[in-house]
Amino acid sequence: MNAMSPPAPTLATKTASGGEILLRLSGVRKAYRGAVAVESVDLEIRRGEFFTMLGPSGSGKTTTLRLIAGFEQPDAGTIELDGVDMARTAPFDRNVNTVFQDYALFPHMSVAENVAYGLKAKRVAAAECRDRVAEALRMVQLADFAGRLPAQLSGGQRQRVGLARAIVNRPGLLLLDEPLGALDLKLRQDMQLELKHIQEQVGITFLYVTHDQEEALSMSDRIAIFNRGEIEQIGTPEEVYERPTTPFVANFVGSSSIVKRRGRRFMLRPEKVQVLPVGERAAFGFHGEEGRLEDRVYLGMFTKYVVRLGDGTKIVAVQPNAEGATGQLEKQRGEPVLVVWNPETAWPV
Amino acid sequence: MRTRFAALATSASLLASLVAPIAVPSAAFAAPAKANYPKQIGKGEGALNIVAWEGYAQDDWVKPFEQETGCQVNRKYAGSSDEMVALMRQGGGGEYDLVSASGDASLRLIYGGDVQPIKVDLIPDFKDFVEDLKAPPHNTVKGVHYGLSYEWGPNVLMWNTDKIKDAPKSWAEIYDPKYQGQVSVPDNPIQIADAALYLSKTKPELGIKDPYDLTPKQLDAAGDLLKTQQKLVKKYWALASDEIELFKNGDATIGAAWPYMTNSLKDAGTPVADVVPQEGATGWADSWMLSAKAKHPNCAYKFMAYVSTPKVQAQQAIYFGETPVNLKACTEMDAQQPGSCEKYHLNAPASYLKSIKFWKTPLKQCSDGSNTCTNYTDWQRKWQEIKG
Amino acid sequence: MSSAHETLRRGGVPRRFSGLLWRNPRLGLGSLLAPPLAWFILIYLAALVVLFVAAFWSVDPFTGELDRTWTLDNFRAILTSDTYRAIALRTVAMAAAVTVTDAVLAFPFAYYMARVAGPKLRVALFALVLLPLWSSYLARVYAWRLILSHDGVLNWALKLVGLPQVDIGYSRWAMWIVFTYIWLPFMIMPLYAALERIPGNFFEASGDLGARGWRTTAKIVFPLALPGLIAGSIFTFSLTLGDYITPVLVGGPGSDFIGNVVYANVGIANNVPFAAAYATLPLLVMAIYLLVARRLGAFDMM
Repeated sequence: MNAMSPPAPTLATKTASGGEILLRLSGVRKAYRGAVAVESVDLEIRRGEFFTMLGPSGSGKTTTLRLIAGFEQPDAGTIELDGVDMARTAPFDRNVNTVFQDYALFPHMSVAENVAYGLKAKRVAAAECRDRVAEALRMVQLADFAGRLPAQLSGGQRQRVGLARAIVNRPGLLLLDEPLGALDLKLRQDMQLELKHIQEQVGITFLYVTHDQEEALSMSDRIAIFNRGEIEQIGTPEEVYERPTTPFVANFVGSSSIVKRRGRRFMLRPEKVQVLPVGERAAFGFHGEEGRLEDRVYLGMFTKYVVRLGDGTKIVAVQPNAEGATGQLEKQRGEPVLVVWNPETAWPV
Repeated sequence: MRTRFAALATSASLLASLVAPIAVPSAAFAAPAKANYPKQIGKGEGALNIVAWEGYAQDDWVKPFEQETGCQVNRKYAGSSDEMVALMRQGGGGEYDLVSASGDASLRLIYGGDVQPIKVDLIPDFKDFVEDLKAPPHNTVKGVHYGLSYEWGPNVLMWNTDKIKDAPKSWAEIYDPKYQGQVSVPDNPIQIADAALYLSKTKPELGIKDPYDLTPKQLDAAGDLLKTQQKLVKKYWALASDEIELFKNGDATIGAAWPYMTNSLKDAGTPVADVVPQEGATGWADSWMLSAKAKHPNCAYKFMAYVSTPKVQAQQAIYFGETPVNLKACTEMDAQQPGSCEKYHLNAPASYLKSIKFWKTPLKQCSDGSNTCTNYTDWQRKWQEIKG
Repeated sequence: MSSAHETLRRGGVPRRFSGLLWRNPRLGLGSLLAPPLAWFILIYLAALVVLFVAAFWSVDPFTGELDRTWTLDNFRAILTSDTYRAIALRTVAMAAAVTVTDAVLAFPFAYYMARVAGPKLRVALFALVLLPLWSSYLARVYAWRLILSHDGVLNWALKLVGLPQVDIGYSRWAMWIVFTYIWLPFMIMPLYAALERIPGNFFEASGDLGARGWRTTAKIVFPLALPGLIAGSIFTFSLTLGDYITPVLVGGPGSDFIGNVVYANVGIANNVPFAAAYATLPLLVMAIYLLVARRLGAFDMM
C-alpha cells in the first residue's frame, strides 16, 4: 500500500532480527546545563521493527527520542538514518515523524486539516493529499470525524488523529512518545493492539517510548531498557524478561524476588513460584523451602502471595485462579507454607 | 467580553465629556441679566475665580492684590474666546466670577445672560479711561455697562529675523508660497476676519467693509484664501505657549501672533520682530465681566478696581505688549520701561484705535441692519472646512 | 404548634433574610449585582441615550441656548459636508494604520518575549514595555513633539550621522508615529498573552511534520495568536479613534480628528447637539468593528 515502505513480505515483523539497520546511534550524549540526560547511547534499529525504549522517568529515553526527532541536538555522537548522519539536521528535513504524548493537535484545524498538515508542508498535490488523508483516517477508524475539531473528540480519538497525522507522511521512522500515557487502562489496552496492528499494516519502523513495562513487552519486537542515561540491556521481550542482565532490568521489567544462595543472587519471577501447604512434596527437580505466609491478595485472575522465608528473604508468587488448577491455598496470614520453584527458572543476576 | 467592555469604556469616556453639559439643565437666559448693583464694595469673600487670557493674571500684580485684599485668586487660562464663553457657562454658570472677555465673546455673554451689569461708579479710575472705551458697543448695551474695559492691542505679524531678512510690511507674506511649511496662525474661527481684512484692501471688488460683517459670498472668498494658506501652515496654534515653542524650535518662521509672544521670545533669546502691516490689523479690546451668578462679587469689584489703577494697567500693558485704557498709565509705563507709553500709542490713542478692527461676534444681522451676513456658527463651520 | 418551634421557625429578621437568600440563590446574586448594574445603566447607558437624543436638537447660534425641537440638521450637515466626511475618514484611516503598524511591530517583539527570551530578560522586557505607561500621556506626547520638531532631537541625530534632515514635525506622519508609540504596549500585552499560551510542542509538531519556520508562523502561530491580536487591535483602534489630544499637540494642518470636532463643538462653539451627532460616528464604527471581531471568533477564546 505504501510507496515509501520497503518491499513487503520480508518485513514480517517477527523475522526482523536479520533486517538491515535503519537507525544507528553511536556515542550519543546530551546534557542540560551540566545535568546529564543521556550519558552515552549506542543503539541500532532495524527496518520494520517495533522497537521500544523502556525506562523510568528521567532515564534518558525521551531525550533520546527528541534527539532522533531533531527537537534537540546531541552534544556528541552521531545519529544515522539510512546511513546518513542527521544529528545536525532540522526536524523538518528528517524523514521521521512523531506522535506526541499529549497529542499536540492543532486546535484551530479540523481533524482532516491536522492530518493534511504534513502533506501540505511537502506540497503534495491536492488530490493525492485528499486521498491519503482519507486513507489514514480510515486506518485509524476516524473516517467520519474528518470535519471535527480536536476539542470535539475523546482522548482516544485524539491520539488516533495524532497517529494518522504522522503515518500519513509515510516516514521511514515513526517516533511515539508515550502515546497512550494519558488514556485509561481499558482504552490503553485496546490501543496497544491497534497500534501493533497498524504497524504491521503500514510496515513503518516504530520507535516507541514508554515507562510501562507491560506495554513494552506486549508490543515490541525488541526493547532497550534505559537507566540513568544509559542502556542497560537490549533484547526481545523474552530475553529482557527471562534473562535480564542486570538487577535493574530484573526489577524494572516485571516484578521479581531476589534470593541469595551460595553467595550468588538469583531472580525469581512470581509466576514461576508455587505456594503449597506444608507437607506437600515438590515436583521432581524442584526446589522447596518453608516460610510464613505474610499476605494474600486476591487479584481476580490471580492471587498474589507474599511469603517470608526463614532467612528473611521475601518471595512473591502469583497463581492463576483457574478452574481445576492448584486452587486457592486456604491458609491464613502467619501460617507456615511451602514455596517451590524450578532452579532453572532462577536467573542469576 | 472583558475586551468588549474596555472598548465600550473608551468610547464612553469620550462621550461622558460630551454629555455632562446636557445632563445639567442649561442655564442660558433669553435676555441680558438684570442689574443687581451693590451700594458699595463690601468685605472680601476671601477668594476669586477668574477666567483670563494667558499673561493676564501674572504674579507681579496678582500677588500684591491677594496680600492687600485677602482675596485668593484662582486662575484658569482660556485659549480662545469660545472657550471663555464655554467656561463661563460651565456647570450652569457661577463657577467663575470674572472673565477677561474680548469683543467677540462679550456680546454673547451679555445676551446669553451670563454676565451682570457693573456699577462703574465703584471703580475710581474709570473717569480716566480713554473716552472711546468707557462705553464701547461691545460691552455696553443701551447705556448699561456689562463690562469694564481693560486693555487693547493688535494681532501682529511676527517673523524670525534670522531667517527672514527683509522686514515684511504686508499680510500678503503669510499667503506667500515661499513660506511653505513655515507659517503659523491661530486655530480660531475669528482668524477669518484677518483674511477678510486683507481682502478688503486687496480685492475691493468683494465689497468687504467690515471684516466681521461677511455675506456668504464674502465668507467663501475669505475661506478660499485661507484654504490656500492651509497648505503653507506648519501648525495652527491653540495656546500662546504653542506659538512661542514653534518659533523657538524653528518650526515656524512667520505668522500671526500677539505682541506678548514677541516679548517672550525676545526674552528667551529668539530673534523675532513684529509689525502692524500696512493693511491694518484685527485686534482685541478686552473687558472684565462679572458673572451673573458670581459667588465672590466683592472680591471681583476689588479686583476690577485694582487692575484699573495706572500702575497695574502699565504692568499689564508692558508685560503683554498692549495698550491700557487708563490714560494716567502713561507716566507709569515710562517709569517702568522708558518710551513704552509712546511705543504702545497711549500718548495718542484715538487715531491708533481706529486702525485696529476689534474682534466682535459675527452676527446674521450686519452692522447696517440688513440680515444678509453670516453668523458665528457659519464661521466656525467654515474654519473647520479650512483646517481640514 | 409549640411556641419553641414557632420561635425557631420564624427566627429573627436577619435569619429569615438569610434563609430567603439560601432558598433563592438568584436573589442573592441579584442584590450583589444591583448597585454596579444600576451605576452601569445610569452612567453608561443613560449618558448614551441622552447623547443620542441631543444629536437631534439644535442650538441658538448667538446665545448658545439649546433648542429642543427635533431636527435632522446636524446629521444632514455631517453627511453632506466634505470636511466632516474627510475628518471621519482620516480618523478611521489613522486608527487602522496605527493598528496595523502596532501589530507588525508588536508581533516579533511579543514573540521574542513569550517564546525566546529567558526569564530574566523577559522581566526586563516587560518593564521596558510597561514603564512608559507610568508616565503621563501628555508628557510622552510632548516629548515626541520635541523629538520631531524642526530643531529637535531627530534632526540633530540625523545631522550627526550625516543624513538629510526631515521635516515631519506637526504632520500626519508625526501623529502616526506618536500614536503607534503610545498604544504599542496595548498591542504587545494581549499578543504576548496569546503567544505565551501556545503549547511548546505545537512548534515541534509543526517542524516534525515538515513545516519550516515561516509556515509554522503562518499556519500555527498566527491563527493561535489571532485572538490576542484582535484584542490588541480593539485597544489600539478605539484608543486612536477617540483621541483628540495628539492631533492638537503634534498634528499639523488637516490633522483634526472626530474628537477634535466634538471638542470644538462642545467646549468652544458650545454646539452640543452637533457634537453629539458627530460623536455617534465613532460609536457606530466601533460597533461594526466589534461585530466583525466577533465574527472572526475573537471572543470565543477569551
